[in-house]
Amino acid sequence: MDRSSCLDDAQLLALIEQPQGEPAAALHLDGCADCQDRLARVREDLALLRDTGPVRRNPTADVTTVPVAEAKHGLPNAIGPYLVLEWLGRGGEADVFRAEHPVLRHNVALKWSRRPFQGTAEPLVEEGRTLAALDVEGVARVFDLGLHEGRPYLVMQMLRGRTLHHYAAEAPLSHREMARLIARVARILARAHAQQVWHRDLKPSNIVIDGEGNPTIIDFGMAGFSQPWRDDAPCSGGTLHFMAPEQAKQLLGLCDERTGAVPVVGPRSDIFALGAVLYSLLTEHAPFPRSEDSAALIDRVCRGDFDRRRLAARGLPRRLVTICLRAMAYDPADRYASADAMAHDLERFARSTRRNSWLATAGALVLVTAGIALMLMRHGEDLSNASPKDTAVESVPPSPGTEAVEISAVQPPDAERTEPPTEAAPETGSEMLTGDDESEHTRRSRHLFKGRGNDSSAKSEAKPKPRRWIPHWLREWGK
Amino acid sequence: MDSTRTSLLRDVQDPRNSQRWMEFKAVYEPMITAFVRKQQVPWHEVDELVQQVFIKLWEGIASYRRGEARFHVWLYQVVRHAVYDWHRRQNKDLRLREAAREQGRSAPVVLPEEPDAEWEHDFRRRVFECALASVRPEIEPATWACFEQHVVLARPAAEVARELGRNVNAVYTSASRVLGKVRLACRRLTEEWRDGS
Repeated sequence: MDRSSCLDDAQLLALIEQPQGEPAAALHLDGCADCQDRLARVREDLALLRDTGPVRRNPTADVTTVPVAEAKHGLPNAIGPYLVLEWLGRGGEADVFRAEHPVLRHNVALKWSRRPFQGTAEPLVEEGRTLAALDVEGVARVFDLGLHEGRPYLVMQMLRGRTLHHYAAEAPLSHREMARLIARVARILARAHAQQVWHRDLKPSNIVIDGEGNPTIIDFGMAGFSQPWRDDAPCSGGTLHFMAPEQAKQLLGLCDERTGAVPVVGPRSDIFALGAVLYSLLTEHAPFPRSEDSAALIDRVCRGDFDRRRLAARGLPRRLVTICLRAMAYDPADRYASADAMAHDLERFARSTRRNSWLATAGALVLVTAGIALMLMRHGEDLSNASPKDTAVESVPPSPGTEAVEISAVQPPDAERTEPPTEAAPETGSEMLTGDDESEHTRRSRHLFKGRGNDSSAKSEAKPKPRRWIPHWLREWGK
Repeated sequence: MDSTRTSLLRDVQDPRNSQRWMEFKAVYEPMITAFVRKQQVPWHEVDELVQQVFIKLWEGIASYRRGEARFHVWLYQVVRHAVYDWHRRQNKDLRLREAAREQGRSAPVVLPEEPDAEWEHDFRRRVFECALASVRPEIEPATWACFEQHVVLARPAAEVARELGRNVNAVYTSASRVLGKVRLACRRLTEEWRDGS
């Protein structure tokens, strides 16, 4: 066999598709063992390449049988005209991918429903419409809506940043930073509410913080279409853990004990969820912890029975706790009337904390200077007639007031950042998540939630735990 | 792809090499996640368990010796133990056991001691995925479109040619050119990832 006439890969591809398409090539193949081997390898490669994603060519395939559970395992290569680059995560009804427009070459977030298209009442379509109508800074923009393999997809702005959950885990936020951040989210929420849009699924993983610290709210309209208390429900975890009581009741079809009617979800349900997000920042725990079994958890959410003792921990600013508790009031009427009102209180807290820090610093400086001057004067007077031992005793004790101010003076405004939220320490007094009630999962989450900056907290913990050192880049779970 | 890169496996045995560790995680996370999902672990626990696996890998990879076991066999053992540990913890807790029973997850999970053909296949598939991703930036969009439509999506060359305004032979040629690059990338990745050669 003349090797120079051996088939190239292009000819092999053609032969695989049309075995008798090119008689000369087919004839050569019959007599060439090398080409037959290569053909077998190409076939094998094709089989693997075609197996790399759930996208199937067969138009008769039942779209509901697409192996969604393997979405992270094998990416589809393209959805509509968009080239899929990466699987980002799962939403309530859809998988989310980083994708690229084939011509414009810009990155987008593409949300592809796991259900067949059901007409214009389709949740993803409704979400697309809602977002397209929402002209609010701080909410991800929508670019396109399409249908691929019988399932709708939504193309949205690709956000660069980290979810609030990861952002807070990387470096603990000071209370002022928390207040400012939540205030900004509240302002975004207020603008959405002004356009009659409630989020209904606000939680730390639905708030993305970019490199400049600007928050963006994602996943608008998800919660209304899912049943998050069910373990098998296709929705992201944690939703129920931030949910307002009336929303849980509405989803369950339960009536309000006072009105006798199924409660209505409105903007104040979002305010509750935002309060819950603040709670999670202050305490490093979701208000309704995930270690609960489903029935107990639903019961607690419906009663608005979150662990208030965590907010009573030492070191949490009372005013911020008050804001949190007001936002998370059981009765919607007792909550803030608007997200703007909540933002206003949070901003006022942030401003006053800053002012207080400066005043404390200035006051401390004055007192320290005065103390040193006084000490030097007395030291000068005593030098001639006092023994060295007397001098040492005389010069040591500062006044109680000075001591108190000095402690705050050595805390610059940013010192608060490295101070761990008091609840971050393993709590000996917490009854809710101790002993058998605390799952390994929760312990792990809490362990991993702590950033490197928390090392100083070990000194102040009443019961320090031996802790494995794990580098931060291993802890970061960057979805 | 940089042909001078050293073995990924050897690099991640240095616990300070965070960059290579992230590459290692990107390579193996999808297949470990898919594996864990099949082992009666509820979806909301999967990510946590996968993270625990990676912490175990990070802690233990320095002690992996190439001569003792092939890496993917060793990796499988780590994942298998993590899955068993998870189920053991669940079984200790009465409430969790009850919840698992209610969700139809009460049958004991039994995993073979050695990785089976599915694990092997998953690895090969992962190699192809990463090879595709690594090759793609080097390829002209039109050439890539021929490859993707004809080879990956298995569409008839004539149909692709018509859609892209090219002749059929050009589709075969473009597709085969990319296929060659993908194969080359696969070989490199396999060598780099698996046995540290």
